[in-house]
Amino acid sequence: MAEGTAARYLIGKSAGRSGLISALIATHVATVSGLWFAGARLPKFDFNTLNGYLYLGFTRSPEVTFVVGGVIHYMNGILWGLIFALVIHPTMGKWVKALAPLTPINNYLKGLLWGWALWIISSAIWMPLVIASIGIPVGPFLTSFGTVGVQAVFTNLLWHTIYGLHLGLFFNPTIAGPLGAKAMPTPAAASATVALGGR
Amino acid sequence: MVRKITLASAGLVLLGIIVTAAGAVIEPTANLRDAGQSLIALGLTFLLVGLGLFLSSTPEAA
Repeated sequence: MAEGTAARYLIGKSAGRSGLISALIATHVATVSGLWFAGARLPKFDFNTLNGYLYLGFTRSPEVTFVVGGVIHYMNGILWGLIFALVIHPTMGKWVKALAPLTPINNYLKGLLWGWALWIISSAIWMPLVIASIGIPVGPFLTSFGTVGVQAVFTNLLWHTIYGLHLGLFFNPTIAGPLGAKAMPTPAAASATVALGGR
Repeated sequence: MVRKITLASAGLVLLGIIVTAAGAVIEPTANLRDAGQSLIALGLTFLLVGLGLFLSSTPEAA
């Protein structure tokens, strides 16, 4: 963002608050979608239970494992979203000049790229190194998962696309105008002002 | 620019529908189950990316 200009957010008034709420929305939509995947003939992606197994082992009831793992999973999703909003999003604009302008399309593309980066981290590092260590067989780059074959890596891609898509659509900073100046009204807001007899 | 993005998003959605449908057709076959499910996941990914691109381009068109 150019110096002396203010950013306007779709949610909240700061990058931190906007990133936090956007990350919560993205994590929840992706998590719930993962639980619904079986309805689309895909392997069910239950990251809550998986995280529960990781921290509690296989000793607790399914309900306790789901809830405790869910808290950890949501914390992870929110923190990855905050890292995106506060660190990765501004940095991407410096690395790739085409992504520098704060437009809704650029914000969306940045969110998608972050989701796909997390997909690579999840499939290449987290699943093979961490999940395999608790006894759940995972092939290289998630080419198998328990009884599920190569479709696991593509289903993981779908899950992380849902996460990145929502993060990019909801964490949407745009240029509001110079600092201290009154923000330009949107066409819809201007029409509403005229319709109400305002100036 | 807006027209190009709209066309790109329509293309991605169409590709997503075709790939998802192909996956749904071959998925019930026992020895093609993995490939069918992979195509469904990939197709839904294309579809969502296209839909998201369309939604993100809409405010700029206003």
